[in-house]
Formats: sequence, structure tokens, C-alpha cells
Amino acid sequence: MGWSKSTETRTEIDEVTGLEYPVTENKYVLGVELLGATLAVSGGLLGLSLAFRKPARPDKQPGAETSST
Amino acid sequence: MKHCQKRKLAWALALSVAPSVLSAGPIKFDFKDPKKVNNVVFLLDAPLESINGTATGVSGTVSFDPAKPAATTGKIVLATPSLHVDNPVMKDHMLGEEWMHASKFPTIEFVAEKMTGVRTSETTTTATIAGKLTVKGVTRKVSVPVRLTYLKGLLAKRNRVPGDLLVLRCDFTIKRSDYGINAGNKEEKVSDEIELKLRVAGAAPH
Repeated sequence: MGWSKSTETRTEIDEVTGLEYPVTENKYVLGVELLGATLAVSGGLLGLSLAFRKPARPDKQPGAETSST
Repeated sequence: MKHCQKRKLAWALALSVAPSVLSAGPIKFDFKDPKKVNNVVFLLDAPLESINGTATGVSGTVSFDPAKPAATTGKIVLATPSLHVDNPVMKDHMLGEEWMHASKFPTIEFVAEKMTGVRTSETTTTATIAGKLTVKGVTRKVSVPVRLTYLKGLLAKRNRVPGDLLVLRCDFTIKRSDYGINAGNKEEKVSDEIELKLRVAGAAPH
């Protein structure tokens, strides 16, 4: 996987001369830097969600007794 | 047939072929190609990154004599802004001031001056061609291997115009440090050696 591309180049052959030549088409191809950025953003969001999570209420903690009046 | 008549016939034949014999000589091939088949491929293989791209802005003329291929001379010009890589950011950097500075140096030129080691077999000639290569305003003498294929009469098949084609293939390597292309910098990502593959065909309409 390489960098992102805004064009894609393929090779064709000229029938008369036998020369190989490039044909370029506009086509967006996702690259490794976007994958990295996506992972970084999701990691950041995960970190934020852990940092700002609500503390668990005592009565919701496992093993806590319930009392009734 | 009498001896006199034979002589007249021989003269008539000689005169009829004379124009073609007299007109034989170097043929001028034009390498401007609106179909963008003519191209240069460039490859850079650095330890951290491999870059490959193309350029199709080829023009120039070559004088080629099928009877004397060793006398071939000419000039091939490549428009610097036609250099292309698929990554848009990399392309901007490549054409920018730090690297190719395409706005200041809009052409890359090769002037062919002398051919040596010429070998011809049927329509194909191989040789080493000595000339001057100018990149980013720096001109250096180079000797590169070349393969020329003379395709007599095949222009009609390609462009619907009677004439000949000359196909030129040439693979060689240059160093960007020799031409002041951000010399000595970022060699871990952009190698010093640039492999070039020239694939061009010139047309000579009759």
C-alpha cells in the first residue's frame, strides 16, 4: 500500500510502433497516510472516552448490597 | 533487341530512378506527438521509498539516414511540467522550486551529437550515442545506449498520412546530484540515481 493517489496510470502498447505508453485516469485511491490518520483519530477518541468516562456509582458496582426501607 | 535499343532502355531506366536516388539521404523525423504515446518513464528506488512516474511532453527532431545510421543527429526535448506522479502532493513537490523548478526550467533537453558502435540488422540499429543532456539548467556530456527502428511507410498506418516512422528506445541512468536537483538531501526517500526509459517515435511525412 502506497501514498494516496489522485490519478491511476496504466500501460498500453501502440500497435504500429510497439511502444509502451502511459495512460492516466483521474481516480482517487486511498493511501497509507489516510489509514494512519484514521487510526490516530480513532485512538484519540478512545483515549478521550476513557479520560472523561463517568465514575461507576457505588450501588452499580458488582457485589454491592441493596437495602430496602 | 538491337544494341542501340538496349542502351536507350538502360538510360530510360536510369533516368526514371534517378530522382529517388538523388533525393535519398537524411530524413528529418518530428517527435512532437499530440497522441501522447511518446513518453519518458523515470524510476527512483530509495531505501525508504520507491518513486515511479511518467512524462509525455516530448518534442524535437532527429535526422536519420537509413543508408548511414551512424550519421544520426538530433534533439529531443521534454517539457518539465509534463512530469507526472500519481500522488498530487508529491507532484507539487517534484515540480516545485526545491526539486525540478519547472517554472524556471521548463524543458529537459538531449542533443545527440555522435554515434559509435553502430550495428544495423534489417530495420533496427543499435549504438551508443554521445550528446549533451540539460536538466534544470545544468548541461553535461553523456553517452547512452540507443535502439533505433526505422519503419518505412508505416506512418500511414498510424496517422493516415504517407511517410515513415523512426522509433527510438533508450534506457540510462543519471544522478540528480549531477544536475543540482536538491543534491545530497532526502536521499533516504528520493534516491540520487534516476533511471530513465525513453520510448519515442518520430514521424516523417512524404
